[in-house]
Amino acid sequence: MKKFTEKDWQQIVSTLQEAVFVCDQDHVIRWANPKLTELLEKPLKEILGKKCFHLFHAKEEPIDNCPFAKKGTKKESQSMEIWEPHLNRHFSINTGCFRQSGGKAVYLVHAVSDLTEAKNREKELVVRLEELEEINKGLKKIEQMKSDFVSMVSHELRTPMTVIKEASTLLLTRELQVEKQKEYLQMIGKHVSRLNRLISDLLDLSRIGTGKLVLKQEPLHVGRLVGELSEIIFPIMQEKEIVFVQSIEKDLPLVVGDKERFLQVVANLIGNAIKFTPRGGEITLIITKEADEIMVKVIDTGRGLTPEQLKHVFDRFYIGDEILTRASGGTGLGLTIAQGLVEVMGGKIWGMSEGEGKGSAFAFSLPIKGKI
Amino acid sequence: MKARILVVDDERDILFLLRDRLVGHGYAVEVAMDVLQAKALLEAKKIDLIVLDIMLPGIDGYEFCRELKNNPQTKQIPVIMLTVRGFSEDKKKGYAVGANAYLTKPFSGEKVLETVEKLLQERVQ
Repeated sequence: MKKFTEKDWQQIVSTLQEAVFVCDQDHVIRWANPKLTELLEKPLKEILGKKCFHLFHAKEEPIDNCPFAKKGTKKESQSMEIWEPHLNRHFSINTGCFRQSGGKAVYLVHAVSDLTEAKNREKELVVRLEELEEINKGLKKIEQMKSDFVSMVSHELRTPMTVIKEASTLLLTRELQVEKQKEYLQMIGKHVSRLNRLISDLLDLSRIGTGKLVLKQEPLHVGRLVGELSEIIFPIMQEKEIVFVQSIEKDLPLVVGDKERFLQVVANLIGNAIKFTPRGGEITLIITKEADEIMVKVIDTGRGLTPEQLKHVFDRFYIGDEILTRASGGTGLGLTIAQGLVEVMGGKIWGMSEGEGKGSAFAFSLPIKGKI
Repeated sequence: MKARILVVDDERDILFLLRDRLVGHGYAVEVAMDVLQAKALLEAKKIDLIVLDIMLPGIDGYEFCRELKNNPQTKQIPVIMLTVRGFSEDKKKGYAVGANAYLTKPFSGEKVLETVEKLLQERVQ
């Protein structure tokens, strides 16, 4: 094999992926391979003879961990990573000392790798990882909500089933007076209706969730329609001695929607208001025209909602106060369904409360032209 | 003398059915829809056994049972938990707070009676 010539050596160093340069003890760049010209985006003549801390680190003096920072220090080799803001690049620098044969001068050889891409990828990975963790948290939460939902549904199924089972057992096995028999049969009837209501709610929820809910598009006299609810609402309000105030704007324009579903939403809001308003309280129903919408608002003087409850009150699977929901005979699905129905009709629904004990208001709007 | 049983459940119809079932077997029955009512009844009357739901408004059945079992005056009263919560961890928790029996809804009225009788018997012995 022939001995490598000076030119060969030049070529060998040029093939390196790293930028290589050599500084003297005064930090002056004495030699550099072409890669450094790429890296600094300068021709070789603007590099050679320049101070390395000026050119490379954009500093007025040697950086602290430069092996030549102090005269006489000669660390044999050193590795470091450095971020150069002026170049917007991240480097790994390996240095080593080299003494010219036959001379006294000591030089510092630098091999510089550009880590910017790798670092960017790393940063991106961290961001992606955080995103994934967020998604994962969300999924776990949904999983938990689903499991809570299933528990809630089974609970809601078991309570009426318990009554039906025990009442029918007593009917079958005891000699009962006719009055008692009637009482048990009424109880059974009541809890069968409760089961039926739960199943309708679950089906509604599922249809809304899968977008399979089909609504009629009919013109609705919103103001007049509400009267159809009085038959159901008034007796319950009277029983609880609740004052019902109605304020319905005259000559309301028609909205397009599904009559049954519209009434279901209003009944749900008034029903909730009744549940949470104490005996002798007041419920106000206001219907007004606002720009190109009709707004229906139900205000109660009940227990109100905490900001936290308010935030979640429409959430699917959310059971704000399970005990209260159950004690009041609801399925805990009413508002979720109401929200779904209003949105399918092209409207919005929202709740307001000044806080616990300060009553609450629920309102929804429907576009006058309807969603066609 | 007939034993007096306190039934605590927030579902009115379940209370009535249990009362009918127990009264039919010669027990005296008191009913409460929450723990506060139950406590008032415990103060006012001598109670021999408690049938207790878990999911109650305010203080729940677990907490109430723990209180009962930590109180020297009430700890000897047998407690039957009667609940829709049927998972084994719920049951474990029930026994951990001191329940003497754990039955799930929908319940068999006969089974409730049997358990009541058994616990009252054990108490006598």
